[in-house]
Amino acid sequence: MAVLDTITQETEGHADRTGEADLVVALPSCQSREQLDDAVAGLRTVLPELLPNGKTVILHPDTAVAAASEDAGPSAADTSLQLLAVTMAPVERYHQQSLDQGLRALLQAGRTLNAKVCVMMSSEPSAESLRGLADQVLYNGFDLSVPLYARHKFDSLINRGIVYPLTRALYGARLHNPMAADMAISPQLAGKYLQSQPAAGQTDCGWITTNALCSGLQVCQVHRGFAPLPGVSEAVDLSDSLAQVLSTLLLDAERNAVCWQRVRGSQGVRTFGRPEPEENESAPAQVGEMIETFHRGCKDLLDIWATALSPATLLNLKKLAKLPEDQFRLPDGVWVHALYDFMLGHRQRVINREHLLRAMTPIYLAWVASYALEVQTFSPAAVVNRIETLGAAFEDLKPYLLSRWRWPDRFNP
Amino acid sequence: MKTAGSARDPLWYKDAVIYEVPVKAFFDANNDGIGDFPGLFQKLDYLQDLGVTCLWLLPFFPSPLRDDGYDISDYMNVHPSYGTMEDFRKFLNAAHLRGIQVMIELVVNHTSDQHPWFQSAREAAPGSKERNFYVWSDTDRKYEGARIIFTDTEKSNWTWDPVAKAYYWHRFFSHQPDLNYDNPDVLEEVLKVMRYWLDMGVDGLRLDAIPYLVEREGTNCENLPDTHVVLKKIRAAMDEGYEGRMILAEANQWPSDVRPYFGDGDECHLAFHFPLMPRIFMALRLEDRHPIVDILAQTPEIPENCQWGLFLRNHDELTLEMVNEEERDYMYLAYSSDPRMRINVGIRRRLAPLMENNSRRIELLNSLLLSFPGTPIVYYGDEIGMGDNIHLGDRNGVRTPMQWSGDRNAGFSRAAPETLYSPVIGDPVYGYGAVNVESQTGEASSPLNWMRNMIALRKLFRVFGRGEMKFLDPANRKILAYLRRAGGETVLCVANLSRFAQPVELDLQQYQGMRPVEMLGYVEFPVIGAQPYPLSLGPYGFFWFELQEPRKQGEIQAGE
Amino acid sequence: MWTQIQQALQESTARVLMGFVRLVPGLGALIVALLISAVAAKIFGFLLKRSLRGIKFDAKMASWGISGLSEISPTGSPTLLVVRFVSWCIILVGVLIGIAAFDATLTQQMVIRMFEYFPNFLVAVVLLFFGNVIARFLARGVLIGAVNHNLPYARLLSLGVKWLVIVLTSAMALEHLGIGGRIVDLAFAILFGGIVLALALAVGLGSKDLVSRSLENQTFQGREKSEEQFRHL
Repeated sequence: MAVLDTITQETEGHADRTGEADLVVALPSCQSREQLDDAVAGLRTVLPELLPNGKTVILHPDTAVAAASEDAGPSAADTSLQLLAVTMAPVERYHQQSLDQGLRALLQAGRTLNAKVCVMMSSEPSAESLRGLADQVLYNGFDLSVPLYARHKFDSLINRGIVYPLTRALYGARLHNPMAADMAISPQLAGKYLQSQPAAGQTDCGWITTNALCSGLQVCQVHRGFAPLPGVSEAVDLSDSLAQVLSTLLLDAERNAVCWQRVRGSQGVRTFGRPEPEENESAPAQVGEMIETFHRGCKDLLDIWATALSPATLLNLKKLAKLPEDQFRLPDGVWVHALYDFMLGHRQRVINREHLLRAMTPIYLAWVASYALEVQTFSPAAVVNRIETLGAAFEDLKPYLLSRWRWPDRFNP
Repeated sequence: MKTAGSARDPLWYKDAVIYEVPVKAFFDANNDGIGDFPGLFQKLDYLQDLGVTCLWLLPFFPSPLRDDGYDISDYMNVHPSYGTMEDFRKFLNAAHLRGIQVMIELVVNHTSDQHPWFQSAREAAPGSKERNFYVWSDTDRKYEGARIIFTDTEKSNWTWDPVAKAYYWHRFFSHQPDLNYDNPDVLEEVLKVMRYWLDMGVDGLRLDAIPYLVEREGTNCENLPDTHVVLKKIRAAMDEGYEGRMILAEANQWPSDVRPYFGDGDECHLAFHFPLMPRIFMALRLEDRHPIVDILAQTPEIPENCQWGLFLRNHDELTLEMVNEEERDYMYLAYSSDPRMRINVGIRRRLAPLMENNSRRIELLNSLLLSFPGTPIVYYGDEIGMGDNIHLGDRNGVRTPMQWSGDRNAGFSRAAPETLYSPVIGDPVYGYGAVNVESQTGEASSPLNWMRNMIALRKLFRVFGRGEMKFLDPANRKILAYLRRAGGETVLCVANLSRFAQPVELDLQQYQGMRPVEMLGYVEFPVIGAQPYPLSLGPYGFFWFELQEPRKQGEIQAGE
Repeated sequence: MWTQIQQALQESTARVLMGFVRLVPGLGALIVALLISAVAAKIFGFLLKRSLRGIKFDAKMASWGISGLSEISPTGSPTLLVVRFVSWCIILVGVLIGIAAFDATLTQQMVIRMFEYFPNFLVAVVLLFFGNVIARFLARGVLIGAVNHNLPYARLLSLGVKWLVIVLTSAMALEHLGIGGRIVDLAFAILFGGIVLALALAVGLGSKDLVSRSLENQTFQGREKSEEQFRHL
């Protein structure tokens, strides 16, 4: 909380001097003077077009402040762009807490400056991205615009297999990168987000994306091609990342349970920009190791899985473990059931939550292996269809999740 | 210092699930055999977990306790047995932190004869200011049109006071003299009391026995126009200084007589629907929906900001004042085989024994309570199916200690059993060994967990608290079917009042094309067609359906 | 002669009787002490049970993920385990008091030593308890981690970790009790070393493939590796 207070004081102090602004951009990734200079020079090119006669304030980490504001900062005559240094740590990929802190700093600044739009650029700042995102909030009446990244078929697998389809089934919006850390936010959504308080024992207030969806606000996505995501602090291990993403996802779902229980089916989300053409690549998938890990899981983790998974799902997983590699296919239904069971187990704290989520890694790898084997020869369009089919399976089985969420019982099929 | 109420939505009471709890019966923290505020404080987690959103505390003020605390001798304090003001504040804040509102009793019709007001009144000269706090008379023949309420104990509404050398008026026990609202000072004092508690942050007040506030010659002294003048003043004082607070009226009257207590939305926010409760029991026993449909048809519309308070059982007897002679006889025959179960004009039993401990019946009645239009009020212990003890006097049989575990004193207190304010229920069927919170918490299909899940489900659908109600009229009268609608949301509830499976065909033409989704298990039922919608219900079965629009497959719309 | 025999007999009888008479109060005291301690144990156990139930000890244990205790508890309830332990401790104290009542230096010394010993005993029990809980928790974590890293012998590894912690805490407990002296240290060192060696072998054997694969990859840079083909985040 102390950090938040400092941020508020800092931004409010600065705001007094800056007055008002139309656009506030946060650049937490610019930790050095050079990065900041480059970024500001880049953004400057789109500002006149994006905001004719408007005023922009850029928030950047105070590690880059001295050099930037003296040398590359705007001259006194140029009042359309102003730089503000605040305490801001770089946002890590899929790390809710770091994003949450940056977002609060940004939105609080936006509120004090009475901004029409706040833009968070956690990854490498790009003028194109800024324009794409801010445009939708400024001129098209959206409350939140997030990027839609193009990805090779074997990339961003946690998002493809879990985050996208689960968010789609829960919140009813086919938002392809619900955990994106770049975004443009309207004052209305900013107000809602700043109002929310972290629940007891939690450090953040959940995703702004689901917050917007649950509040019935307008959300859109903007094609961003193969742009990079914010970095990760160190080479993290897969089960760490998986546990972290799942934990964020499930805590958020628990927080929003009242909202998503009432959502049925899903709707497309307005999408702007042009999708980047993808090459048709078909490399044979090397999945031997993943299947091996899954086999090992089936051998050694069965009793841990049994605390969460229903007997039928366990049986299906055991059957899968007996299949040879060329026939190795994890049916969507089994995958979805497994994920939903883990979700319910997490809610009921059947065992230590961290252990439970980590224990899911082998099953996730089985899904990756099965998916990779299936789509290795697919065209990009066919891969998209495959993920949509998976999303539909998540939706079809939502009643299973709902009934057990409403009526917790260990006596499951 | 004035503390704000804890609710954000001014209409919070419409979505509330109220839990009625006597402090003395819930949990004893200091082991003196009497429940107290520190005990209640300790059990807040349980209440939060159960899902209730508002606690209604029975009177906890200093009192000679000759009428279970409804004979108050000091309005602005806590009875020493229940703790201190500090304990109350601590409890109140903790409840608010958990998102639970707190409603207390404002017994405005009468005080205890031990109250300083009455003591000075009887000593004061006739006609003086002090004397006029109460209703005095030289004869006991005034207001003869007023009935006697406690027929078992009282012979007259007047009692001679040898000190004052005059008769004083009391509608209830003779030790509870009625306040005189023709004296403006009385209202002023009552408002002071109200402000005292509201300033502390209390969210709601239950006004006890309000039809009897004012007496006029030649009337039955109930529901008089001047009573409403008093109520309007109380409400105005509340609205003037406080936001998000609520008044619940206790008026055991016919719906049409209760209706005026809502005023134009400027008297009480909530009022009990007394006649509904016995009719629910009657309909179940008769296996016929008629009594319920009939009484709800007689229930007038109420202002937008008002709501009915619904309950199955409470701390009093199952009152049969609001049924006719024949119905009363039937109820006695049906639900009180032992004459000791009867008291005044009612039956002093808890829900589970009334249902002969049949879990399906209990669940059916609770499902009605939670889905009828109004705010449900759950009586403590009914969520675990506690029993009663008809061998205890008055209505004490339904006020026994809460059964927390199978330990001594049902886990209620560590005091010696003989020092408890009341013996715990110990019989083999309803006793604490068989019925207790501890054993039911772990068991997924226990009554406690059933109640918890149902409350969570009710809270998920605002239509239950806010929606209108429309009865369907299927040919099979053992089936009660009704729609709840609000803001595009429609819920269909179907209940089988019979002990055997029943078929029913519902006329749902209006909803053709929609799909009923059973809410408990989220099971999709066949789409409603042009023909009557057929359903079969098991013994005492019930369904809650959410009527869903046919699914639209969302298209991804292209932008630029 | 006869008088001497008679005297000797009388004296010995008197001695034995005297001895017996001296013993009787001690015996009585022992029985009384036992009775009182049994009653005290019952009462204290009851109170403890109530207070533990009051703070929902079992549920808390479960929610902290400490299932180890319930596995070794009677009827799966850690509360009962604690209550029984405390009750027996009280009875033990009663026995000691009773023994001390025999007016003998030896028994007195024994009792004093027992009491001096008691804190050590308690610490040892606490050590064993936490050791057990931590061992199980770590073992589960290691098992999951090892499987996720595709290490063969994952279960062996987790068992190894579990026993490592148990052996370590047991050695610490024995040390506290002062039982065995150097033998324990020695045995522990050997056992510990053995487990570490076993673990090293397990990891080593398991990662043999891993090492050879990474060497291969370094040698044949062009060869595609499955880990590089997929990106999860």
